[in-house]
Amino acid sequence: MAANVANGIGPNWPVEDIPDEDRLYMWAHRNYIDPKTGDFGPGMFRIRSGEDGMSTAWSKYSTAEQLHRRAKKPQDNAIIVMRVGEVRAIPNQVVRHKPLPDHQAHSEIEGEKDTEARAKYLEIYQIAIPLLEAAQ
Amino acid sequence: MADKITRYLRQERWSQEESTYQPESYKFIKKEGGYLENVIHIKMLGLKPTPDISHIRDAIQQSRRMLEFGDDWDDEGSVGYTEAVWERSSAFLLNYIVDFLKGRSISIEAPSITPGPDGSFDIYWRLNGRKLLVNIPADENASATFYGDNRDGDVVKGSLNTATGKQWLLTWLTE
Repeated sequence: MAANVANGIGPNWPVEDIPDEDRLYMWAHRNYIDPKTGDFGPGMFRIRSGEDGMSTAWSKYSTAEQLHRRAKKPQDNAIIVMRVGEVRAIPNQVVRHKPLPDHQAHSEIEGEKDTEARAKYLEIYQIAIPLLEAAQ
Repeated sequence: MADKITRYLRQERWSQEESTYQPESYKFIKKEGGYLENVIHIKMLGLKPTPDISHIRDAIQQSRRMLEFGDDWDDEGSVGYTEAVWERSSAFLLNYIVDFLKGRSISIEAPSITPGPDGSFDIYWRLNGRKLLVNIPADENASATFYGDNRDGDVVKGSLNTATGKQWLLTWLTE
């Protein structure tokens, strides 16, 4: 068990409250970019089929680089970052720490990602790792 | 009107790779891009002065890149995009913009057109401290949804029928 913990794997990581002042990291696939402006579109703010919320990584237990390395194709993904308090200010969005055995930082943003929510997410995200660096 | 145009063009345009067909007031060009050019041609008929929407047309044409994505295009299970959704998005934009520009000597910037969730299209403007996001769903029976706000805290949001052009949304965006 000690070896597993050292490797970031724990059978039951404790669920914690995420403070407003902390940050969340998230993958952003290159195909969401508008070629005209170079900006990401709001479609990247979505809940994957079969999941309860939008997957993110809590900054307390993950860096942007660590999350980037977890992507299926890191070269196709940037990493964006959002302040938890600003996420919670978007209507109906709930931030929950949901650690996985091999991913203590895993968190989800529950709540429908409707047109209003996605428009507001566009205002609060920043780039933590841009695509050019991700491609290297 | 856009809905009638779509149905008519679908009936006629698939028979040949290149065709010329001259009914009363319009003709087909080539199949590739033909739909867009013909919708623009029909919408512009009789308009004086003719508004310059070449930048809008270019943005719409470039959005066709999304039709090549295929399923799981983001490595996270997102579904691909269909010609039908692209046509509805194109017709919506042209309806709104050409109707808005009628009789006005102003222009409007082209929006960003990007992949939306579940096979939908996102159309997004950011102008003069205002932003407006319109989502065109994959389901042709579902209404489009929109959200807009400005620095003063004014908000517009709701659903709309993309087959009928209403100027008020672009009027709000550009005032």
